[in-house]
Formats: sequence, structure tokens, C-alpha cells
Amino acid sequence: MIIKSKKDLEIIKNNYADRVRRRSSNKGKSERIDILVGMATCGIAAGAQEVFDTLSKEVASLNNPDIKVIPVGCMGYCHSEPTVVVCLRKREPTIYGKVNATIAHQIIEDHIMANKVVKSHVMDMEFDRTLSGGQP
Amino acid sequence: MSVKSKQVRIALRNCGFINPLNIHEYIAFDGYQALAKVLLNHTPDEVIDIVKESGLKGRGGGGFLTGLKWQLTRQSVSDEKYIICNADEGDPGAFMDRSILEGDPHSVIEAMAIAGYAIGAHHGIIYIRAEYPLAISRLEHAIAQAKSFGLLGKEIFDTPFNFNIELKLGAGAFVCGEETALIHSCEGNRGEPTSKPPFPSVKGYLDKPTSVNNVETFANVPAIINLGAPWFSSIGTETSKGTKVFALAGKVNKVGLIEVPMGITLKEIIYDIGGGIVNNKKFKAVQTGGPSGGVITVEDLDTPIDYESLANIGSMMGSGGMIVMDEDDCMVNIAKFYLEFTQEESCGKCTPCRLGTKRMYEILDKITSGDGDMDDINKLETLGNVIKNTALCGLGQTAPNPVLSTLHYFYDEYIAHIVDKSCPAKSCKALLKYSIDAEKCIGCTACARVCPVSCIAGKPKELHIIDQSKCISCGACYDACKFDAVIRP
Repeated sequence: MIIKSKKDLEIIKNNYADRVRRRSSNKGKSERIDILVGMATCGIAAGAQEVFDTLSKEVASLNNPDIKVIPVGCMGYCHSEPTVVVCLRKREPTIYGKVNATIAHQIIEDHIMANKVVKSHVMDMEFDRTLSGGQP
Repeated sequence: MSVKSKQVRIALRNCGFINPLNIHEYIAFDGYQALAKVLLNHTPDEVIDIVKESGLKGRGGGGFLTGLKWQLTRQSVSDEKYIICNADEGDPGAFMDRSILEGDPHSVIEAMAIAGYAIGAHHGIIYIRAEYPLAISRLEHAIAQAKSFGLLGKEIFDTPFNFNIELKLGAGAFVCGEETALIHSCEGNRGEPTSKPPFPSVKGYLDKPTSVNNVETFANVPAIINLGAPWFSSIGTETSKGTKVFALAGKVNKVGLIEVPMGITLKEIIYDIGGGIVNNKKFKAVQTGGPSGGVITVEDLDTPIDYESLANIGSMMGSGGMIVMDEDDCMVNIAKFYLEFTQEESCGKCTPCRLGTKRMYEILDKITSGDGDMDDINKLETLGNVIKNTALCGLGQTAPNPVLSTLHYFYDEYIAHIVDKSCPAKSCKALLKYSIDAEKCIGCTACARVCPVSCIAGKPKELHIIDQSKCISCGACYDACKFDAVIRP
């Protein structure tokens, strides 16, 4: 579609707001779950592609359209690549570091399916996203 | 998130949050709102005023006011003007621009269109090194998406403004980060700098007025337009506004890509964000500004970091490489490492840089090999100052900084190498001489067996001796000895 006005921009923004909302907020009624995988050059070099493929395959087998695996850019945690963020409803986002295919499988089995955080690979959040949705 | 975070993310606001291959996600996080706002509500002069008022300075290192650069380019009269994005990131250990382009390419595209509108350009160029294949493919994808959505191309947002972006790939020459050399390389010529004036804002790409801005500078622009200049200038110090992205590397526990407000102290960066020095070793110095910068020592751990304070202590902001060093790092060797880099990357056009950096490197090599004499210090200082004052471009003018800065703060280490023929950090191999403690050696032969140059003599159960003339100081004997009998220098 060709965007010709602020209104066109707002339409796309609103259509997609639900899909990305889980990342900036854990509130709302939607059951959506976002699983982000850091896939910049550095993450891929550390094995993020394998993690992404494992997560995608396992999520596909769950047959739940509310769960999405999304490739994103660098999160900045070079010391713990590959990194995965799990965004759930009513929960603070969980950041996992040094994830491999086995841990990825465990994240799906424990965290997504049983709501049990895989504690051994959890990292501290190192920054606040002050500009979420463009608002300070 | 128990502790209040020290980081503030503006340029990196979407990095790691959105799918860089999906323009919808960028739009969902307020993408292209800033472009709509300037095209529909502001004149180009108003846009320049907003950016000037925000206090945004060039994040590539020079620190020139972005709004002023745009204004000077706008004021030049010409039928055609150009906006160029400098993505020729070449400092050893720096990856800020690559991360932004890979994680949030649309923020740079949107900002370039805004800049194009402000200066009166219809054509943008992203000059990026071919060594960044993923960043290039994501940019190409993002540009194609923006075109298909009508956010690049003709009559954007139904206004008379047309804008397009093309990529030019560089072969990865450090000097091409210098704006005049970059412009020549874009034109298909050799990447060599020319003297300024004329500045690119008057005579740049294809002899037309051109504004060259860095990736990170651009990434800040949409946020400034959306949230306003007063918001942006409320972050930072009196003279340096906003945030800076640093690639934190070296001997810290948590290496990473960080974005911090101007005015933060080095102590906060290293200990609060970086998690302290690896293995609890003693902090020695931080190198900022890459091959153009200098070292910051323990004395300045509490100095608020901004463009001015770093320049005052003999370093510079640079593009954002920040390498932390501990007690095991030799400062003479660090200076040598950077000079080796600059003398290789010198384009060779002007004599001070071509020959001067080579001579400085040779002197440093001599000192770290144990062959230096006191006169070498004077030679380094004289050469350094001559190169600084006479080189043609920024590469040469700043190349001596790592040497002059370490000479200033770590003079004793140079003296130790020259007079005592020893390296206090035990890093210069040529100055390390291993020996065997006669009291502790039981003659087990373990050291002699692992010595790669067979320079340890001795019969079983008798004292072993290292032939210093043959020893290459590899340390294998030190590791092999189970009785602590090998003495490390």
C-alpha cells in the first residue's frame, strides 16, 4: 500500500499495535506471547540462527497462533550471546543469555508451556526502554 | 529491573525490539511519524532550527553541530544537493553503526529523508563498507520496502518532496570515514582526502553541496522531531546533549553495546554497566576514540564524559569505541598497536602522515623490543606534534594521539622499557626473560621437554638452566613446571 497521509500511517500503526504491544507492555487482554531472538551479525556468529530455528520449529508444532518467534537486532548483551527475550502477559519480560538449541527447547517446554522460568540462563535487564511507543 | 538503569536508549530505541525486516513494526513504534510531521507541518528552515536547538552534535567523532551543518548546506545555492550517510565504521573494536543498521535500518532511512528535506536534497547515499553484508542486505530490504510504501520516491506524503536513497559500498579503508575521502570514493575516485575549505557543504559530491552525517547521528533525528528539541536537550550536559552509544570492550565483565546519557562518568560505565574488571584485576585505563583518541586513567574515572571533557584530558569522543584495560596491558604496546593500524591505513597522500606514522611505529617497535634509548622519547614527541600540525586530514592529525596520550599518562612505562629493559605489565615478550630457581628445581625435565626451541639444558635430577640467547619467552616452561621453579619475569 502507498502511504499518503498521517492517517494512512495511523491505520498501519493501529493494525500492528496489537501485534507489537506485548513487547512494550505486559498488560491487556491479548494472550499473545512474543519470543525475540537477537539476530545481528554478532548474535548469528554466536549461534542465534540455530536457536531461532529450534524455537520456530517447536512453536510451529504447538499450533498456537498467539505465540510468535521474532528475529530482532542487537540487544547489546555481547557478553551473553545468543540472547532470547520472552514477553508474556502480566509478567516482566525475561531475558535469557547464552542460549543454545537445548536451552531453547527448555524455554518452550518450561517457560512457555509450564510458566516456569529457566533460571540458569536468566540475565538482568540492563536498560529501560524509555522511548517505547515514542513516548518518554 | 531492581536498580534504576544507567542507560538511556534513543539511537538504539528499536534495536532488539523490532523485526528489522518488517516495516510495519517500525511504523507501529511511531516510525515515519517524524517524516510526516516535517513534510506536512514544518518548513525546511524550521526543521533545521529544531535540530539546532536540540544541540545534536555529529556522533562520528568530530562533534560538529548537526543543525549547523545542515544549515550551511541549505544556504549553498545549487540546482542539486546531496545527503550522505557515513556508515564506513572502521575503528578497531567499534560496532555501533553496524548494530543500528542491522537492528533498525528504517530509522536511518527516515532521518535521511528528513535531512534531505531540510537541506534541499532529493538524493541520498549510504556509504557502507562491503564487510557488513548483513547490514547491507537489511538496508536494501528496508529501502525497497520504504519505496513500495511510498515513503521514498516521488511526492512523499502527497507533497512536492521527492527523495531516493542508494547504497555505495566501500572496500573498507579507514581513511574513507573522513568526509572528503568518502565523497571521492562515492564518486568512483581513489579514497583520498582533499583539504578543506572548500567544505562539502559548499562543494561536495559531484561538486554539489553535500552534508555527510554519521549513522548514529541520523538515528537520533526521528526521536528529536517526535519528542521535541527541549526534551532532547534536557538529557546530557551543558555543552553536549543527548546520549552516546559506546561499544564497551576489553577487560570488563559485561562487554556490550550501551547507550548512556552524556555526562555519565567512566566509573559508572565500567563498574555499574560493565560489571567491573575481569578477574577483579586492577583498572589501568580506558582507550576512547580508537586510533584517533587517547587513554583515560584512574584519575579521571569521575570525570563526566562529554565532547569537551574528553578533549580536555587529551582523548576524544570518537565514534564510540571504548576499550577497557587492566594491569596486564602494556601502554607502549597499545600505542604501537594503534600506530600499526594508522600507518597501514594512511592513504599516503601527504608526507607527514605517510612517513611520520611509519617512523613513529618503528620507534615504538624498537622500544618494545628492548632497543630503545632516551632520545626516542623526544623523537616521538617531536614527530607526533609535527604530524598533528601538518597532516592533511583528520586521520593524520589525530594519529599521534595514542602515543602522545600514553606518553603523558604512562611516561614511567616508557622509561621502564628503555632504561630498565623491562615491561611492567609483562606483556612485551622480547623483554620477558624466564629463569629457573636453583632452590626449587628438582630436575624433573618437564620444562625441557615442552620448550619449543630446546633452549633448556640439564640432566634428570639436576638443576636445569635456560639459555637466554635462544629463549623466545613463550612461557611454556612456566606452565609446565609443577614446583614453581620457573621464575616469570
